[in-house]
Amino acid sequence: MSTLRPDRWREVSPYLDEALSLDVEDRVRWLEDFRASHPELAGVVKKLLDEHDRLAQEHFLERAPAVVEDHNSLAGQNVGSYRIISPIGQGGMGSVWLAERSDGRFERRVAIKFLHFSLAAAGTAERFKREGKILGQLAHPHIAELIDAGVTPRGDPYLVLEYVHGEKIDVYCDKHKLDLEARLQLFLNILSAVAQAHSNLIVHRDIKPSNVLARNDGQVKLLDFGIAKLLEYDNGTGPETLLTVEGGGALTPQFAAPEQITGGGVTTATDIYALGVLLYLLLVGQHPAGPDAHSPAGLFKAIVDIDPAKGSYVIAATDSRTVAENRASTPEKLCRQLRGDLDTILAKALKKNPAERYGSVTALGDDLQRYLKHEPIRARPDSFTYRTAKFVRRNRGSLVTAGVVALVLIAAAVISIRQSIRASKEATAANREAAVAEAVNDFLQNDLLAQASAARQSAPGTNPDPDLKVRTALDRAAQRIEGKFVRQPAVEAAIRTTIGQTYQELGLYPEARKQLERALELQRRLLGEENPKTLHTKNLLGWTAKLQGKYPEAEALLTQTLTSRRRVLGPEHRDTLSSMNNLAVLYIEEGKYAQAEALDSQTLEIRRRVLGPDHPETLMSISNLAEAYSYEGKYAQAETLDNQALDVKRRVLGPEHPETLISIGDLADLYYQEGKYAQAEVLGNQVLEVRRRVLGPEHHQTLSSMILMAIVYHHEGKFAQAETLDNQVLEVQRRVLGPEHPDTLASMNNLAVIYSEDGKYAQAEVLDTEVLQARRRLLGAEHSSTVTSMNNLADDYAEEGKYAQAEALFNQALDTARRVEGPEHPDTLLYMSDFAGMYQRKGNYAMAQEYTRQALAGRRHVLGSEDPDTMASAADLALAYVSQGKFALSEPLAREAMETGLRKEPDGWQPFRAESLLGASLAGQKKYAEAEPLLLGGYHGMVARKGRIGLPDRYHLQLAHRWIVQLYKDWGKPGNKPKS
Amino acid sequence: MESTVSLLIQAKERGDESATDALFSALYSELHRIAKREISRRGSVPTLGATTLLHETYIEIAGKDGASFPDRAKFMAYASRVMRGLIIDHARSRSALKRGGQFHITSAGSDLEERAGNQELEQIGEALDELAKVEPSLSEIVDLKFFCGFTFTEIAAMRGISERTAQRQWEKARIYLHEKISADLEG
Repeated sequence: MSTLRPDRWREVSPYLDEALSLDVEDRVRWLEDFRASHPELAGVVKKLLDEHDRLAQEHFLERAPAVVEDHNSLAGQNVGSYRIISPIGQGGMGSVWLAERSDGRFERRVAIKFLHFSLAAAGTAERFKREGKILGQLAHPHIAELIDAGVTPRGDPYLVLEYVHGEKIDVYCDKHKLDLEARLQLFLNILSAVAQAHSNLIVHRDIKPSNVLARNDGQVKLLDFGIAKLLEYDNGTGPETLLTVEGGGALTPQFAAPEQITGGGVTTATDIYALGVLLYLLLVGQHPAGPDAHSPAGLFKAIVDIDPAKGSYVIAATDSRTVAENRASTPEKLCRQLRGDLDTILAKALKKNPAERYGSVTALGDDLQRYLKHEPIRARPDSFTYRTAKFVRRNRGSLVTAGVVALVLIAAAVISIRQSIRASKEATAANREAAVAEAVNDFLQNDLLAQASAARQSAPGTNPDPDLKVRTALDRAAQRIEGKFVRQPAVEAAIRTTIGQTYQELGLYPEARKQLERALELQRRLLGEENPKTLHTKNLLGWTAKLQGKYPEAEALLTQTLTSRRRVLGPEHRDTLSSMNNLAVLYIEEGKYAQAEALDSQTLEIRRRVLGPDHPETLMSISNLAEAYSYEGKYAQAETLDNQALDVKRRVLGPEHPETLISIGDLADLYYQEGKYAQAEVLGNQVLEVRRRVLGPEHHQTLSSMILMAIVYHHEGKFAQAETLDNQVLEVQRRVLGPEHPDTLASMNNLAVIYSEDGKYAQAEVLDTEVLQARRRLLGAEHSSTVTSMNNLADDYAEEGKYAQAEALFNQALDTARRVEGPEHPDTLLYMSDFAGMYQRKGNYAMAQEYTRQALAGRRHVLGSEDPDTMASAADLALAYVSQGKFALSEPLAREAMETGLRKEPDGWQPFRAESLLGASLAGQKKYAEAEPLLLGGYHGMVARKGRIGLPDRYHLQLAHRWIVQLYKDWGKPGNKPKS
Repeated sequence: MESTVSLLIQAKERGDESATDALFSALYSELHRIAKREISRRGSVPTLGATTLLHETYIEIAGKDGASFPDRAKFMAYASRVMRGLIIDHARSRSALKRGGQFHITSAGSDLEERAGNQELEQIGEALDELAKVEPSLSEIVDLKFFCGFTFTEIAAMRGISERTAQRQWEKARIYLHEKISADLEG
């Protein structure tokens, strides 16, 4: 009787549900109960349940899913001495098929893997087979055996491998909820396999979870050992950065070691790194680069540049309940287990520098064994093995070696382009187009990467100037794209975006814009205004505009991006927050501090709420908001926030951790802003000392500290020390970054300022001229940095008495600034003041008065009447009036400058200058008695602070002296003539 | 501009039975077209998973319709049913040399001989049609899992059930199918 009549089935179906949801033992009991309660149905149900058991055993219908095959389907075909049965899956390098021996001998099934790379040349085929034989000799219980390597008559290389039916090891561990010890034991098995291979001089190069399978019985097997080597060409080159596919998706280099990305050599240390990543994944539940390093460029940067977070920290600082559950533990317990030795072991395996990692797989295994036996491990922890994963710093003059940056970006560009070629939605009908795309891809990879690598590997002592070669290669690539992708706009857009970004990172902004604008146009048309890709490009374009100093444009683009993201992704999405951050940075550069504060406040509130008060990104927001406050002059609030952040970091990371030092540096920076130079000096030196000792004198953070210290010294008038530091920094930057890098130029700028304060005007002129030329060329004549350079050079000319040249340059600077940044931008007002200063020195008081008046009005409006710069302008105007005998007008200004100055700049000399001016104003009105103490007090006050007064400003001293002499002459009273 | 598929799905959901055939035709040709495109694009890569094919199709169709497209779960339910049809069709005609086109759609090889495998597939198809009349959710599970290769996780997510439930439905369906096939062989 068929059990399948619909009514019958409907009857039993719910009971089947019940029964199947029970464990086997419970099911037996259930059946007994059921037999008692439903005797007529029990027989049927039991039959069906028995059937179920049988089917489960037979794996009925449990096959690999459907596939769509080429009509050249291989099923049934013979390859070597095997016959293909069916496809198994899609590997990173080719398709994999299940096969058996074609002569009927019943040996185990094998997996045949076809590799994408065709070996047309006869020589390489032989080599392939030969290497295959060598690899085949690698025998280890935990290595999937390579049985044979061959080449089909058509020239397709293939490998015959032991067929392993298992799961990726990370999935396996999570599924079975293995605790740390069990995972470590599995891992040790893997290590013994890798050690064996290494002792045979075979490097894997591609260790990752999908190559480490765990069978049902708990046996682990490593796949694809040494395959990369097989694919090398005869001269040893080849796809060394084997950035393989994970599960058939896009190319991601998640398990690549830093040296694989930057084109250095691949050695056993590379495998150790990959093992480190794998172990990290198994123990901590995420990738060392952090949970969201997803874009190729971001991932590259993370791998090459950012140290991984301590596992224990990750567990403590994030929601790790699931991760802990999968390790049969709780977050607290897991954190404790990881803290200390395991953190140290992981850190040592994941060192960026291969020489600093474990020297051998055995050494790594030994330390793990020691851990398991509770013995002390050999690896020594350094005091900062990590920086927390994602810290997007604002422009603080961070200096990454140009060579690395270039390579990282090129590699990212290549990957990105490959991705877009794969993702192209347009039908590549003609082979010609596909060939062209391949050609561009090839060119970029072989030409660009090879060139860049060659540049890096040039002999020490020569000046390879990698930026120059990279730029040439980029230019060529940009040319090649023209007209080639007319029918593949998506591909073209992606390529242009990537190239544009690369240009931008190299500081070549006009070229970057060209590419990005074209890309944006295409994406707008193709994908729509609010598509994430379009927004990404828009964001890049806005940022480039900012770097060029084109603020209105930048603001428009970035604001649009933010609005769209807010709407499409929601106000709390990471990308939205990052847009808010970008816009805030822009506002600060524009001087729109209040708006920056508002944005930073919002971002902080969201992050605090969503990520928690101790999260690295929250701390970042705190620092950003503090910075905004400090620009607005809200120093008390800024200090509070900076101290908050510092407390957290001290507590969580320790007093010498790089991030803690950054916070101390922030505080020092703040004190400097407040004019509390002595305190700034103390803190700044603290930080510098640690960094010098631990990171070395050439690390970019050490240099940052030195730059800050130089500025502080400068303001304290310790010019000699400032000059020394600036020279040291400049020497390193020139050598490491190149003479035209923005940061090098900034240092030159600073040094020139020191020189001129020291009266070394000719040297200052030389430096400023160099800087100006470079900036004109790289940034264009309108960029704010270029204009600053113009101003500085004009100042030098003025000091040297070259007034004609000075005037011309000042006019140019002022014009441009007025036009581009606006008539009330702080920079514009500064240039105005400097210009006025020149006229004052030259004796053209009327002009000086005019410009100073404008500057003062502007500064009052924008900075407020309490700002030191405003008061400086007030004093300047007073001086212009005094010089013209307009004493009644100068008096109130001088008074204001003096009173405010004494309140706000207690350490400075400017208040005394104002005091002297006030005296001169009164003396001019014949109020000699009142004038005397002011003139004397002002003069002596300046003398006492003489060291702090730069040479160009020394003439204020002379003026003050002259006024005293004049006073006594006019008064007719023999008096306390000061010694000069 | 809504696509044919979208309109047809909406019609079917509203109870318009005549839309069914039209829908399946439309899906059939969409899947066919996209499969051809993917194969030719991938060049030396000879295989394409059915799930990938379904995803691509979904993206393509839904992409055109934007917000008005009925949800993915519904689409997958219908598409996987069509997929089953494609597979069985191809299995049936595999030995026929005159079948043109650049590709075959198969389910992964069974241990039985090809002929038997193809026959089994046809029987499964028929059994599923019957099961669809009795407990339609079960036949959908089989389409999704067996013919299209979605995992339990994906299926659970698509249908808003737990993985455990998805697995149990699968096991039940399997019992039914086997019963049906054996009964046919006997009878």
